[in-house]
Amino acid sequence: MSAPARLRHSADPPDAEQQIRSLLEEGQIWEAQELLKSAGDRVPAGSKIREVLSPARVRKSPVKGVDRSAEFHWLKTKAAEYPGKWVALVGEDLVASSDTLKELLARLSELRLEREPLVHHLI
Amino acid sequence: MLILDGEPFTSGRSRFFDQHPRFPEPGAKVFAQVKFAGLGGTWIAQVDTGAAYSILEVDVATALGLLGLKEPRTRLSTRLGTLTGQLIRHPVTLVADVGESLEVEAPFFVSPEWRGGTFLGYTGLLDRLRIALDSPANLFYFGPEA
Repeated sequence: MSAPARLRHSADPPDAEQQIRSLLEEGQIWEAQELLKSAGDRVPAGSKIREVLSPARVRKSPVKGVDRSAEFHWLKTKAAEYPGKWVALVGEDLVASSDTLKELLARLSELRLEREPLVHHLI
Repeated sequence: MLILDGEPFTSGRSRFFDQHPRFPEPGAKVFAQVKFAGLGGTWIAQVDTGAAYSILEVDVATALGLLGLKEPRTRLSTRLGTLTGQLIRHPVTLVADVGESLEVEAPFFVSPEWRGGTFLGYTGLLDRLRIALDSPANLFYFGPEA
């Protein structure tokens, strides 16, 4: 009795979620987003594809920034001396550098800095 | 902050960096300060309305544990060729020097093949914001949509 089931299945149009996944796999991200908008509840609310493609959520953040002019000046004037490095800057001070981000983050975790560094990759 | 027709247009402002030592091509660009949920420090991401989608630098994606997840696969045409990767959703905060910072949970393309930096692209991220530039002063203004 399985053969008729396969036939019925193959005759069915692909479901909306599968269509969207196919579009994504082909690199048609915008088309996938548009199809999602028109799919309504044919794509379940909790599906991964809906979560990823839904419009961005924007909210105010309590994060307070600081003037990074000094760090930017360091990047303009000193970056060429550290090609390929990951660097962490606080003001015009280079507080850590490494060939890998993983190592840089490990070093930073051992430091007690007055403020969070600007982290950047110099290639 | 910026006012348009008597109403607030943006809510935050930050100084941006315009001469990235990493990219040899001439011409100023806009590199804004961002923070990633799950990573300390402040980072630099290129604000690029010409980039269709946002991309995470591969080392950053790795540090955040976002590579190799069971996420939808896709392809993206970039200046470095067409890359295979995944779409993930992750919060990024546009850091304000003045006013309020904004957290944007947006789709990012991640791929082990990507050799560029982090980009904040138009679709799915910048298209949800109000943005403005004071280019001579290197100031980037941003705010939520009305």
